Amino acid sequence: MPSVKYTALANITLSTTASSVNFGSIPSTYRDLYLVMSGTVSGVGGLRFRVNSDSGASYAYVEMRGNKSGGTDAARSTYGTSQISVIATESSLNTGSRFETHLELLEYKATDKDKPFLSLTSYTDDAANTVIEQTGAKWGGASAITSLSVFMSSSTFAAGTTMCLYGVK
Amino acid sequence: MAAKELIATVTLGSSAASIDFTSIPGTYTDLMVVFSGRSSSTGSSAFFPAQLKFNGSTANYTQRRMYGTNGATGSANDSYGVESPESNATANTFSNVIIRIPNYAGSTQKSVTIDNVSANSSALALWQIAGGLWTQTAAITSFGLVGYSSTNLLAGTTASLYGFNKGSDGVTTVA
Repeated sequence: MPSVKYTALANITLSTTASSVNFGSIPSTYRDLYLVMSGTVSGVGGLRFRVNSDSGASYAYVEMRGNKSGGTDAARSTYGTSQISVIATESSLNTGSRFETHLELLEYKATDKDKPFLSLTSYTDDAANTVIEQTGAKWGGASAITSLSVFMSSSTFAAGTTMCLYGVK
Repeated sequence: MAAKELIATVTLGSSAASIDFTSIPGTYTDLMVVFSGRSSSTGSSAFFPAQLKFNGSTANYTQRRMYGTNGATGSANDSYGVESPESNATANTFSNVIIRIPNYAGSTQKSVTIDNVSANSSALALWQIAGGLWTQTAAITSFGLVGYSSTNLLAGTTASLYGFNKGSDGVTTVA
């Protein structure tokens, strides 16, 4: 019976603060990629992604956010932008904020289609409120994805933050 | 060592108050629970919660959830956990839930994400995401789902606990 198999590709536990982490030389062996991130941040900022070092207007995303404080839920769509946002800057991720992000990159090696992303993030904001944020996104490049960059729009990931990348087929 | 391993799976042959995974080894990186449930509740809301139980207790857990159901969307702060069809819903309908807990064996508070879909009939369905926080810093050694307000989980309810192992393929770089 066919079954889905996960293979661990790379992982990192930050020993010091870092503004970005890059996964490179991703093999084209799998169908999808799955990234799990967990940790804290050192200041104000949002969580962003890029692939293949593409900082052009190649991305589009829709994000939906539920904020525990006062029920300030929000949704936003952005097209022709230079990055994917999975935690909006407006959510006030701040020093000590805990976050957990699950990112799925579907059919990352395809060369005949845009690449879809789906993420689900749980985190605490600067008032220690719990926030849930879901993002659906795409990268408009026709190349296979061979690298994935994770970065903060400002500030840094704190030491102890972990990131694990898996291949799925 | 496989990247994703099935630790244990439970299927209820009869109604029970909860499903519990105990003696969870601390050797994995992250946990995932796949849950398909049905509640003994007979209310009129069509869906009823099962709370998350960490190390034997439902205390110290809160979440923010967003949901969409027929003709309505909303959000709430609570500790409800996951939602499943009630016993007076369309027969043989169960929820479809994924619960993720990274760094479950670490010494920090534990973040939780929940993906939850339930379909009561062709005319009534619920979609829900939740972000939660268990505020204790102890490692999670047991995890369970328990019917809210003394209700039960019905026969046919299943739960599977998976452990993820981080690693390297020797090709992919990270810096």
